[in-house]
Parts: sequence; C-alpha cells; structure tokens
Amino acid sequence: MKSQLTLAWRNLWRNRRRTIITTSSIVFSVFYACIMRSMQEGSYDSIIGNLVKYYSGYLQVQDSAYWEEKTLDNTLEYDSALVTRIEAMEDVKLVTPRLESFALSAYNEFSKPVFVIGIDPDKEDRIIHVSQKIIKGSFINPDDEGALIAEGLAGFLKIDVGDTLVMIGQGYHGSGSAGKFAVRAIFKHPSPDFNNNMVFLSLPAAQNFYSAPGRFTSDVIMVEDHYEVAQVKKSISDMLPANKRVMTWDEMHPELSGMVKGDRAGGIIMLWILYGVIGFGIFGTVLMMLNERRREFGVINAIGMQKDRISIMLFFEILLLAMLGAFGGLILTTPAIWYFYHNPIPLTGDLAEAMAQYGMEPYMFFSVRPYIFLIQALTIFGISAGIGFVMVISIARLDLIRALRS
Amino acid sequence: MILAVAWRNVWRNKLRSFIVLAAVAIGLFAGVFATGFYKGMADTRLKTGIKTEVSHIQIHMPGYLKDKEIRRYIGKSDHIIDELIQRGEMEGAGRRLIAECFFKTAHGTRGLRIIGIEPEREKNVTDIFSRISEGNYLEGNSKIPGILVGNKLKDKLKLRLNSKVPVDIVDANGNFSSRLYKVCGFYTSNNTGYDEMTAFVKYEELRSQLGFSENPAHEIAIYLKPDVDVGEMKQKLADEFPVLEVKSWREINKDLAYLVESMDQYMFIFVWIILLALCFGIINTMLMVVLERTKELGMLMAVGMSRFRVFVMIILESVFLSLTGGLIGIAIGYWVIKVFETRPIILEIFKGFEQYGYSSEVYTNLPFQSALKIAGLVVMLGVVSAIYPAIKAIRLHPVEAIRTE
Repeated sequence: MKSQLTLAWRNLWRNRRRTIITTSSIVFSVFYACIMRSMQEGSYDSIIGNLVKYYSGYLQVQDSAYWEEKTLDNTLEYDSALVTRIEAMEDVKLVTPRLESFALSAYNEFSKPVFVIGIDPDKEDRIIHVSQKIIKGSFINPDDEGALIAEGLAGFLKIDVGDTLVMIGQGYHGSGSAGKFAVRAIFKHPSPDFNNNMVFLSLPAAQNFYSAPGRFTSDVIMVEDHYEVAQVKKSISDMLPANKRVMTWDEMHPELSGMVKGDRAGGIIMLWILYGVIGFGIFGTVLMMLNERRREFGVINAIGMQKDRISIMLFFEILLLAMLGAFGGLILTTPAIWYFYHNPIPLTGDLAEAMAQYGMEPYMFFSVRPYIFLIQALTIFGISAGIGFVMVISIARLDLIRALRS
Repeated sequence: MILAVAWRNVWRNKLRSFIVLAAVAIGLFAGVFATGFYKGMADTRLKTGIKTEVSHIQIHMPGYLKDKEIRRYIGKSDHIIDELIQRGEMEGAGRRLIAECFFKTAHGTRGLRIIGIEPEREKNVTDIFSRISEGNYLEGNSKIPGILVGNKLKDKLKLRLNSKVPVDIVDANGNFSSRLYKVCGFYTSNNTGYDEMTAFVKYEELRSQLGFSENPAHEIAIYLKPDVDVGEMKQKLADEFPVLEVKSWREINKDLAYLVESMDQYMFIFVWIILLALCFGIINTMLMVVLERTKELGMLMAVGMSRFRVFVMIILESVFLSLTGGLIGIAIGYWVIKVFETRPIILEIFKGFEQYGYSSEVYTNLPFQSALKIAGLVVMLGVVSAIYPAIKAIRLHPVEAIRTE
C-alpha cells in the first residue's frame, strides 16, 4: 500500500504542469463553493437570528388556538410550575412570558398602527438586549407604566422621551382599550420593519391596557442554538396539557423558512452545475493520462506488478489530486471567510436600500459552520472516487500485448 | 486553409474532443438555462411590481414618501387628474388617498395600509380589478362601504365575504375615527407580503373618513403606454409641476430597480464562473494536444509554416472545440427556455419567495441578444484557454521537436 502511495505521489509530479492545472480547477471550485455557501448560510443565519433573537425566540408555548386565531381570548394563564419545569431542562437558556397585540398609537396629530409587546424587562433583556440598543432614555422596570418605543416610530410620531404616547386597541373579550404611556426610552431595532412599529410595555402595563390581567399570549423559550430546537420541542410537548402547544420558529414563520429553503436549493443546484463542469474537466484529464501511459502500464504489468496494484496506485493518484485541490481550496478560503465572519461586509447604495425594504440588515454576512466546508471537500472526493472507478475498470480491461505494442 | 486544418485536427482524437465538447455543452446549457430562469423570475416580479403595486410614475407632495403623513396631500387634485387622463402618453392615471389604520376583527387585530381608489380610473392604472379571487371589485353602492382585502390577510384573520370590520384611523384633524366597512372581495397579487399589508376602499369613503372636504390626493399614479419612455415623461411632468414631487418606479421601489440592474449582472457572473471552470479543462486538453504533436508541429515549422500560423492554428482548434460545444449547449438551453416561455415551471420549493413578491410559477425568458453575448464569451473562452498552449507550441525548436519520439 505504502509503496503505491509513494509511486502515486511521484507520478503526480511527473507531469507537473497538468497536475497544477487540474488542482487549480479544484481549488477554484472549492473556493467559489465555500464562499458562496458561506454567504448564503450567513445571510440566513442573520435573517433567522434577527427574527429569533429580536422577536419570536426559538420556541413558544401558546394556547393551542392562538396561532390560528391571534386574539387575546386565546391567551394563557401563568403556569409557574410549567415554566419552572421548562427552565430546568438542560438546553433551555431562558423562558419569558409575553403579551402581544396590535394597537393604534398617536401623539399630537400623528398616528400609526403599532405592534405592542408586554415584557418581563429583566428576562427579555437577556434575549433581545434592548437595554443596549437604547439611544435615549432609560430602560423600564418590571412594573413600569411607561413605554419603550422604536426609533423609526418615534421619528414618525415626532415623540420624544418624557412625552405621552396614546394607544387604542382591542382588549380581552373584545373590550375596547385605551391607555396613556410616558415614553421612557427610544431604542433602535435592527430589523427595519420592527424599528418602524414596535412598542414595549412592562407586562403589568400591557395586561392592564388590554384588560387581560394575569394573561399571556406566549412563553418564549430560548435555547443555545437552533440545532437543539427539535429535541426541546419534543420534550416540551410531552409535558403540555391538551390546551397548550409548543411551536418552533420555523413553524411560526413558514414564509421565511420557505424562502430559505428555496434560496438554498437554487444555490446548491448552481454548485452542482459547477461541480459537473469541473468533474468533466478532471475526467478528460484522467482519460488523456490513461491513454498516454498505456505503454507504461503494459510494461509494469509485464514485469510483474499486478493489475489490482496498478489500479490502487492510480486510485491514489486521483485521490491525492483531489485532496491537494480540496485542501488547497480550504486553506485559501478559511482565512478569508473567518475574517469576513467577524467583519461582515457593509453594503451601500441601492442594494442596501433594497435589503432594508426586505427587512434585512444591509450587511453581507458569512457563516463558518464546518459542514459547509466539509460538504465541498466530500463532494470533490465523491467526484474523484467516481472517476477513479472508471480508471480501475480501464486498467482491468488492459490488454497486455496491445499495451506493450502501442 | 488553416481553418480547415484546424477543424480536422479537432476530430483527430474523437474521444478527447468529445469529452471537452460535452463539458462545454453541459456547462453552457446550465448557464443559459439558469440565466433564462432567473431572468424570467425577475421579469414576473417586475411586471407585478409595476402593474399591481407602483405603476410607472407617482406624484406626491414633497416629503410625503418619507413620512407618509396624511396632511401632506395634493390639494386640488381634480384638474390635475382630469388633465393627465387626457394625454396621449398615458394608459391611465389614478388618484389615491392612503392611510395607515388599525383593523379590528373578531379573529384578531392588525395594522394595515388602506388605499382609497377611484375604481373605474384605477382599472387603467393597476390590475387589482383582474386579480379578484372571490367576491367583487369595489363596484356598486351599498349602505356599508366595501373594502377589498388581500387573500393572505383573509387567511390570517379568518375573514369572510360580507364580514363587517371596523377600521380605526386618526383623521386629518387629529380626531379618532372608527368606521365600519364590509368585505366585498379578496384579491391576490403575486406578492403575499403586499397582500397582507394592503386593503382598498373607495376614494370618497376614505376621504370622508379622513375628514377632507375638498378632493385631495396623497398619491397620483400614472401608467404609461408601452412605448413611452418613463425617464423622459417623468422629467416632463417634474417640469410641469415644480411644487410636486414626481418620481419614477425606479426611485420609489428601490428593490425593483435594483433587481432589474443586478439580475443580468448576477447571471453573467455565474456564466463567467462556469466559463472559468471550463477554462481549466480546455487548457489541459490543448496542452495535451501540443505535447503529443510535438514532432508534427516541429515538422510543420521545419517545412516552412510560420510560427504565427502555428499559433493561429492552435487557437482556432481551441475555439472550434469550445464553440461547437458552446453552440450545442446554448442552442439546447435556448430551446428549453422557449418551451417554458409559455408553460410555467412550477416549483413547490420556491413557494417561500411569494412573501417577497416572486411567483413560484416561473416563465423562463432570455432575449436572443443575451444568448449571442454568451456565445461571444464562449469564443473568448476558446481563445484565452489556448494562449498558453499555443505559446508552448511556438516556442518549440523545430530541430529538437522533430527528433522527439
């Protein structure tokens, strides 16, 4: 085995130029594939992360009728035993109750529909870090009667810290609701949509406003990262009574996970095309190489090297070639991606505005998930193994006499 | 002469040429098809964007687009709109009142953008009237004014035809106003995000709810006849109405404008990447060609073929090789695109794009010019990838070359 490996390595460098060109084609495709996939996954992570971290959380426990019919009538009562049990679970970082609804907000002559979330400020701050995003004013207390409003909304209403925001909504059991809230702080929400319409109240203030004392729309559950979501979902749904259900972020945002799936599929198809082209290139090179070394194979076969050994040697050649290319590509890509992962590329101009219209942050994000890179390397190995197989067959069919005479 | 020689040389090693040819054909087919596919997707988005959402030109009071403040209205809109409709360049023009409202239903509450339109005039501007999936467009009179709601919102709020819904607004005088509307129909644009956020009522109804006495407009939208240049018309209108803000769809909907500009570039980058990948294979093949014909090339030079001609011959061989493959690939790709130009490709996996205004039914489209451009790139591919091997060839020393085995 070892001698075949040495032979294979030496053979590769007999035609240095060809090896370098073939390797570069693999390096190029791995490089391109990694960059593209990393950008794709990075942007999904950013979109999903924004949604999960700044709004929905990874999982939510809700009344089982709430998702189909988002009214305050389908709300939960606080179940501290349940919350304690969920919090005790291994992967769960945090559970926080919320009361969410819509309202019409007004200040002086200006008005705008808004999205109101009643929060437990201390716990919520560990999820969405509002206190760090405050531009002006101070964060609310757990039983505060004031409001935190998003920067875009404040700009529209021309309201400032200390002013009084008026809100009109629809309360529990269809009752009308109206309330006045002193603006405690203005914060900047990273999602442009939410930045234009979000208002945070303390839970008691929100429950009071919607005449729904002691009621919640959901318990938001944070886990370490989204790999654990499915497992946690299963354990939680086992402990829930029939009138409650647990939903994951992708169930709550089917459009988003649908878009991610569609976009990912598009990107992967493009990569397969690229790999197909590269594969054909390698195949062509290998075929030429086989042709050109026919006589040589005949000779070494004639002087006693068995065909299966020749096959193994050739297999090593192609595998080494693939490895050189794949590792070369990864070595070239990793520092670049690592750098851009920590320093996302800011986008400007029309592209930035277009992304803002889609509710995304104007940055080009990169992902450093190992599987993205691993898959590229594996794909290249798969292709080269396939080509190696062709070589083995071709060697098995080698006619000694003819090969010697060629 | 040299053309014929090069062409014949390509076919001396059939298997090898065939592999390269197939690689180029498959690569180019994929490139052309992907270009046509995404171009088709972008075209549909653009068409819906203009025809259903923004129209070609919009006129507002300066600053309206920024803060959507209901008191920034165009005061005497009657004569402006009457005059605009008369013009030969216009397919139609419509005025609108727009308000952000709070929408209360038995099955939940929502913030919503309500657009007050004049149903008949609007028909010449947007195609909402042709996109009614259930119920009626805003026609006829009833005691309770009608509201046209998007299908997406219907699902979310479990609305039914003739459900009565209160709409809360703060009017132009700063007073709170709540009025009952009756759902008269549901529409579906290709943009579910838009459907969820937008509802239509009659102009007069919204006008009275907002407390306007004259006939103001927040927005005048203009749809132009097919051969009218949007930029020129916009400039003309801007000169005629110096106090108003006249904008084209490109300026209003940046993502649409960006889409049009970027999609072509983006797809050309993809074609470039495929070509680059092919380039490696062709360089290898042509190097092979030169190496195995060392003796022959030496001979040709010895009997008097100039180095320049040898160079041209190698380049031509490479061009023939890539162009044959390229043309086959482009032709098949172009044909497939033609097939799906009238029959849509329906992709379940692209359903998620509908939230962002892209239809999951894709009608492929590729202008013939783009196909030609790609063919041009293929020729370039042939030339570029043969340069290095051709240089190798002309650097051969005839005497030494003849002696090689």
